[in-house]
Amino acid sequence: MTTNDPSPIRTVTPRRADADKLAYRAHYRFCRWDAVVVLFVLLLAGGLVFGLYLSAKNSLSASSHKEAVLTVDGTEVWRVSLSGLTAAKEYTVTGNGEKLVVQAESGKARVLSSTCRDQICVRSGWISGIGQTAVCLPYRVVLRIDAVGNGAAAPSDTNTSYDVISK
Amino acid sequence: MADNRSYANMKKLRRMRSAATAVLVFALLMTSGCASSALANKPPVSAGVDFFAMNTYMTITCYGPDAKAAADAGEAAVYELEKTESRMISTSEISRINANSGKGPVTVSQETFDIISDAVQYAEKTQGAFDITIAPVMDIWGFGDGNYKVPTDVQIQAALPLVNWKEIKLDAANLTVELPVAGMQLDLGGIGKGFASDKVQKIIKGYNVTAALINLGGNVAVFGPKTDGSLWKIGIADPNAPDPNAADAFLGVLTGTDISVITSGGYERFFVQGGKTYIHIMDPATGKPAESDLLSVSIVTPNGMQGDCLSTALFVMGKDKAMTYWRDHKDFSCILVTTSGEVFASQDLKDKFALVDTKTAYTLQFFS
Amino acid sequence: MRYSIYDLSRWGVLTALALALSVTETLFFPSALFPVPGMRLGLANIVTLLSIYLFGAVPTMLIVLIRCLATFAFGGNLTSFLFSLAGGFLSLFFMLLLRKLRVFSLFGVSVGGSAAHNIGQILIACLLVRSWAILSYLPVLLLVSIVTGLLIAALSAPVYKAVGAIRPGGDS
Repeated sequence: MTTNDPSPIRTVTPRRADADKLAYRAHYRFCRWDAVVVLFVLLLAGGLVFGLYLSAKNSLSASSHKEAVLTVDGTEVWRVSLSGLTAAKEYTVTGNGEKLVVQAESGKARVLSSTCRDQICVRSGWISGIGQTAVCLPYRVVLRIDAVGNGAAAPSDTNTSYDVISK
Repeated sequence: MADNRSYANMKKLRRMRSAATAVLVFALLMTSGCASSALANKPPVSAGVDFFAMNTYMTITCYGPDAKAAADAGEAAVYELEKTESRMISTSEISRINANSGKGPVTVSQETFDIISDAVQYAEKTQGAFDITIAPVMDIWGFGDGNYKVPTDVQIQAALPLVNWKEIKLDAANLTVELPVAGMQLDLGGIGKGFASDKVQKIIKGYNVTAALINLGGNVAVFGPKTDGSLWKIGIADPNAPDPNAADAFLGVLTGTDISVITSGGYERFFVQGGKTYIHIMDPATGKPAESDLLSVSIVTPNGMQGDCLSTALFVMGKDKAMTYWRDHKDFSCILVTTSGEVFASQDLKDKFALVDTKTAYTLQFFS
Repeated sequence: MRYSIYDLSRWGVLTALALALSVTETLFFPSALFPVPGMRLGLANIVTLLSIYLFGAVPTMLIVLIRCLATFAFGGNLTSFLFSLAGGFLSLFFMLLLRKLRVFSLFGVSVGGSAAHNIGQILIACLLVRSWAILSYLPVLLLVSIVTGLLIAALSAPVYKAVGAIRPGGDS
């Protein structure tokens, strides 16, 4: 042992063979290979952005509009078109003493209030981009902006649109 | 072995350790609560609530400055009503009446009295096709508790005499209701949601609300113009739709406002046994599910309670008797869907109701 | 297990330290500071990172597991427990992998670990709410994870240097 070497502290003891396996001299300086990792993560992020952009673009046809969709546990419970909204619209979901309120205005929507503990959904604020979401995980509620094309649910044709179904 | 360096290291570690323990204790003592966010307090221009009551999913959406308060009040009213009128809740007034059948008159609230006396009137008008004393028959088929079964003829014959709206004794002066024959039971399922939607409408109109859409499990009531000034578009459910919850599970659209639209159909609740389908709409005359040539009946009227009673009654009556009833009364509109895919709508809906283009299986005729 | 009581107690203290770090980091850097919900500094990973090099895979797994359980026991909900578990173990897996390929330093391992942590959490979130929409958060999270990964490594490096490396052969 030279005085220059940092003295190792005895840690795991029992088997010599194990000690060998555990013996790692770590590099604690940034080296060029780390840049590879950083680059990889950057590329991954970039790729994701591109992929998401593509999928958003695909669902955006010529004459389409944005809709805010609210799903609870995967089931859609509310859908409202964000274009042509002259005033704010609200929707409340309740159950088990819990309550979550979403609000939609022209071109954007948000979770207005929630009785959840972390309030992450509310702090997400307004979302307006296609594919953007505000999520309340404990309540399994997702507020999402969808791009809806002409064929899907365009409320222009009197014969195929309705406000409610009597059943 | 332990030279100065490693001794210093050990001391460092020890200090790290004690620091860590101190921080941990400190941190645990300061268990963080949630970060509460500032709620926007802007009054909503439209507000809706959705909830579960009377065994079904309901939504109330109101428009106007008091929208939120109105919607909440409506929801509360439905819960209150259910507590008083549901025979499934043992403390309700109806349950008390049922428990005292054969034992004398039971004092009830004005509201319950009114509901029952109105139900009796509709029973009379429809010559018993609508009958709130149908509960014993519902129960032998299992539509009361959900344990569906096909009863024997003996059971049906035993239950039938208990189904007689004429036996209900009402005393308006003392506000009492009596079921003189022991075993008679009332079920307000055929009138409850209609009454509830009327009550909710009345409550909502007491607030500063310009329009509202009330959907109590398919019992629809609307009033006021929509925010863009247009009329409401109410879809009529397609009884043959494979998935009743699909967005396109409707066969036609009715345009209008200040109306209730109530639909009754066997497709809503039924069970299949031995290859046969048994629906939940009972025929008070036979004690069995109504064998009607109709798949669904939709009543359009400003009076939700009337709509609820008549939708059941006209379904039981069948197409011809239903049309006759309409001709004799004409204080409502109706849409009848037959088992053969014909849709008959009363003449007064001529400019208001149209079939959906894509549902080519149906044909529409207006009758007068 | 044939580990000495000395080792076990040290790992215990390190677990406590990790817990303390994760709680106190929110006091000094509240998550309101971060644009994306659920984004944190992740200071507890200092412990994970050091432990990988000083003690190896199994003890670190134990530390991560017990840390998640303890957070859950001290008033966490099931969803956040699943989250920390998913993120923690995926990140651990990748950190061990990167460490095995000896070319990377603390920095590379740490960045890989924090990226994997976020990926794990987002995947669990997608599963939980049954929607791929959550993925839209990932690019931002990944970018931030590069920064936090480097930061964690930067904070761990001096500690590692001071505490020292185990020589091959298990010298004392």
